[in-house]
Amino acid sequence: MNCQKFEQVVGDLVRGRMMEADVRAGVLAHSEECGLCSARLRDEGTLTRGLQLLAVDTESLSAPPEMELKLREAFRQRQAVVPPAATSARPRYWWAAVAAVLLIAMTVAAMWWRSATPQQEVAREEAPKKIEAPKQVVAPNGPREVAPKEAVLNAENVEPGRSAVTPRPIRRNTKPRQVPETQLANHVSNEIATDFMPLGDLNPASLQDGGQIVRVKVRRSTLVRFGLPVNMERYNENVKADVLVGSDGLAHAIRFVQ
Amino acid sequence: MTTGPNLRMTQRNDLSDNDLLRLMLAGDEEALAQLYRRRQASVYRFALQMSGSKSIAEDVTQEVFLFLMREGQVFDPARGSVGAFLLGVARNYVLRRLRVEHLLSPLADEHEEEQSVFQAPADLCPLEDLTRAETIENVRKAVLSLPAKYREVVVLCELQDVSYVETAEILGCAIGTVRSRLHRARALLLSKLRPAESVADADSASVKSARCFA
Repeated sequence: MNCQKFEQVVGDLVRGRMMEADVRAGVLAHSEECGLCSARLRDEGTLTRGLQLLAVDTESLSAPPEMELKLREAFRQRQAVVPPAATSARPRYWWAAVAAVLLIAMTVAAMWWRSATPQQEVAREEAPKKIEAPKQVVAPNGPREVAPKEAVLNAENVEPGRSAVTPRPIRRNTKPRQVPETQLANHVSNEIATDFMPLGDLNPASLQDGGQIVRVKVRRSTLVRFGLPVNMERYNENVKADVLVGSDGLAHAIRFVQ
Repeated sequence: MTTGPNLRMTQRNDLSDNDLLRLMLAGDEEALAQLYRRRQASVYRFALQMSGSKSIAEDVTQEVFLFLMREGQVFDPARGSVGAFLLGVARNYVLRRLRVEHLLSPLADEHEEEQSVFQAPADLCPLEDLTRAETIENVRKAVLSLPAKYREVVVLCELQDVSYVETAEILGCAIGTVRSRLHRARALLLSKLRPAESVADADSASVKSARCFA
């Protein structure tokens, strides 16, 4: 045992803390040999006794009795104002969670609305076109015929080798669109269309599975390929046509609109 | 035969601090009273020994239990006992109060007032009583003159007899820090008390032999 180790354990020794027996014996032995450490041990003992006296003197002290009454009163008032269930942390967390969920839902709804708005505007812009298109399926009395008979080209005009069977335009959405009759009537009176003419070797019967009419513009010279008469003075101009696209994404038939 | 309320009181006496706190938070006033009776003295003494002011000690004790009513649910049993939790809250209130009021040493009038509160054992002779009171007063002054971080470890470990582990929980530091602070605090106390003690020892030893052992 040296003075440094003595310094480390002298506090525990005088305060009666638990320590190993040989360490205790070493400290006491060192204090007998070393004058400085002996004085230190005596000082520490005096200090410990002084602190113990102070602790004993303050041991009986406590808060005044009326404080309990005040606290009880405060407790009752608090219970009257705030019900016990509301004092726990859990409901507070629940409210925070509900608020967070609402915030997230509102954010998602706002984002969805923003993304949906342009589509709706596009749909609104396209809506008149669709109405203008010869969608015969919406006609109340017949599913597809809109063009006057005299304007419809005969099957003899179809390019040789092609089937004269006119495929039925079938829309993916079978629910009839509610179009005002006046609008439909205007449309019928304004446009004249040929029958659908099959394109290539595709089977028009497959259109029963669903299809879509796409309005396009093609060169007037295209009419020649289908055996239709062409005004050579307007050879380079475009002419409107409806292409019947099947559910497989391929063009199955075409008709020309005037 | 034990009646209903008495039975309930008996049961509350057997309950742990944690159970009492849980009941109190559920709205049981008697649980609050029971917990207060168990823990108020240590909180009050800690505040008194830290501040040296009776009024601060009372205020802090009240604030601690009001805090327990308000925020008792923040107590985590895994982090320590209810007693340590209350002393930790009391420590924060005392330090805040001392900072606000710049009361790093006790006021003289309150000091005198509190002196009368301390009770000496009746079996001491007057001189021993006087010497004892003087020693206590010197030690108390020395403790109150310590910096707060040393004072709190002396109050907890030496005066309140709280273990190093609990002291570390209360102060929110490592046990090694508690030990080193206590060591330093004792050295400071010795340096403050040595002149007074040496004079007092010399005087009291001569008088004591003349009066008490005559």
